[in-house]
Amino acid sequence: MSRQQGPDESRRPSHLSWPEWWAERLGLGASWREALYHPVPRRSSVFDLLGFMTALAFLNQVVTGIILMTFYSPSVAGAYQSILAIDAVPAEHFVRDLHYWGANAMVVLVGLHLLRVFYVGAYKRPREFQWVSGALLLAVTIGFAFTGYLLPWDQQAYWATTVGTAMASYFPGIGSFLQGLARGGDTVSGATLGRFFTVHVLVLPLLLLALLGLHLLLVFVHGQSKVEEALPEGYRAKHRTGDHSDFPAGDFQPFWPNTVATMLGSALVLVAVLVALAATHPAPLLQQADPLNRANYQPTPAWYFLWIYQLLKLFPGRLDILGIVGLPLLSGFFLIALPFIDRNPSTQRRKRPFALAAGAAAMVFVLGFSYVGSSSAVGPTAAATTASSQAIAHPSFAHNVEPLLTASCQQCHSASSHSGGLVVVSYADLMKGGGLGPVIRAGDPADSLIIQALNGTSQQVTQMPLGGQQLPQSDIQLLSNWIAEGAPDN
Amino acid sequence: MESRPTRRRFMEWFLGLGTGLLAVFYGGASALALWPPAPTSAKLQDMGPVSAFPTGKPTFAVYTAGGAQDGVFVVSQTSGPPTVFDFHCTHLQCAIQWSSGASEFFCPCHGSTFNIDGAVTGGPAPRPLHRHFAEVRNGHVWVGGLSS
Repeated sequence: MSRQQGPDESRRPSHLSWPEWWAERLGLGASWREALYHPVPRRSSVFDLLGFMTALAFLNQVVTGIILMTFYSPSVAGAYQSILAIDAVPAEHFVRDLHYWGANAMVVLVGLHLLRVFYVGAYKRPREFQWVSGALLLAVTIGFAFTGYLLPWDQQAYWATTVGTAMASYFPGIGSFLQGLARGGDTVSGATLGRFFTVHVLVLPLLLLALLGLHLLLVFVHGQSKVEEALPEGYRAKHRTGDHSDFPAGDFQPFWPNTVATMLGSALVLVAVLVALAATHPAPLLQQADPLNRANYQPTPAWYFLWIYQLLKLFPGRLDILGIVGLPLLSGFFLIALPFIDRNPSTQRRKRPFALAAGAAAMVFVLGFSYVGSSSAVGPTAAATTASSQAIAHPSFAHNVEPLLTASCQQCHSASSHSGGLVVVSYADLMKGGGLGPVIRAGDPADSLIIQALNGTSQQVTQMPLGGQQLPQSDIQLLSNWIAEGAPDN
Repeated sequence: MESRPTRRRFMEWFLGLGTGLLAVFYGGASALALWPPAPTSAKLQDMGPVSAFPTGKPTFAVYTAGGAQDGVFVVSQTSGPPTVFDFHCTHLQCAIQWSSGASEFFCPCHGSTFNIDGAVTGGPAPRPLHRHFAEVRNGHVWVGGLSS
């Protein structure tokens, strides 16, 4: 028998508030009250908001990511072109800038959140799985950063992904399989782009939502450690039953609306910072990916991988496997298993000197290596530094310069085909110069036309070798070194 | 003792088998689709006449393997087929370059260097440059997939 339902019965009865009406429909019982009105200490710091701000940065990624996805084309032919098209429209470009800065913010915030939780010992009983789910969320965040890096399909994307996936090949036994699985072939190609795109926009978001759901559920179940410590003995159990008669006065405020207002404030600040960064520092885009690297592009690691990049230099030859596979795996395992390794029950700083010292040492290690890595990383500005360390410091004309000219320049600048009036067969020819005058100013490489032409910075001639691959920086540096020493006929 | 399967035992058995079959089906289908393809070792490509590759000097050339472009350095030998090096460093696969001045290959990423025979002469590279299969047919250099 079905009962005829009057229109009035589905309406919200006047004695129920909207939250009460919804709680009844969703079967939440009294727990929604607990969630909304639980007491929070009035005194709180900005560090309490780091987890919320990380989630907010993720929300920024979801919104901007969905918009970008409507314009992006995940194929070798279309990826770079679609980014160019996005960048050509100011509003779309701005969304890409926001996505770029949101990604960086997420890495920073998740890192700071982790450090804070470690510092106050909030990973201890009964919150072990809050920590474990948080550590896995950090891994997912790094996965987002790594897969997203490839999508613009520029030189940086292509070569950083080549190096990043090559690291998997060092895994004992199944290394080549893992590398092939990530790339979908021998080299980074359209197959890699398809895989990374799918993981970035579908697999990782699902994984993140599942882990974040668990993370937040556990926050609800166990409460925030600082709040619980501040509450009077036995208060929480009583509160759970729906008895709010003795709300701790004075030092406490209800979560809604007081704490939520603070959270909204932090949200506004975070978004303002992202907007300011996006407006002043647009997301970079280099030349389109070239698997043949004709312009001799030298990849740089993303800033959060600089410490690993620097670390790898410590493990020469066959010990590389320790730096590439061993240490990252070990630190990952240690991070996830921390609540089960650190059995010290105390959360007081004075009683955990070893854990805090170890944490501080790890931080000094990562920051120090990142700093050294950043100053030695090869990049547009640092290229010359590295190239000079590769190049011969005191070159000889006969042994170094002449072979270079023979190999790279004489096809056009020989006695028979003296392009531009320049011949570089002998020392005398080279010093004489061509139709535009001398190409070498002894002692001053920067003012020498040959160096300008090779670097593509000359106003008078196009980049040399004409129509060919740019010379390696080490060769250009070798010539510069020779000119700087007075261009001797040695 | 009752040895005939009961209705409940059958249901448990069915649930286990059914779930297992679904897992094997979707897992297997995914693995088949995503399994990395075998290296394209058999695919030979004409790189041009032998005369285009001088002896004792690496010449950069493009090998198109399975639709993707790959860089190689061809070094003609005084006798026998040329040596063809893959242009990815054996450390972390950055693109190596040939420096005529220093007469060696070098990798800009972590500073590995290799001589004209592909042997490591410096830096963190753990092994010599990878070689491609190569042979000479009718005066032309033919290059295949990775052979080492």
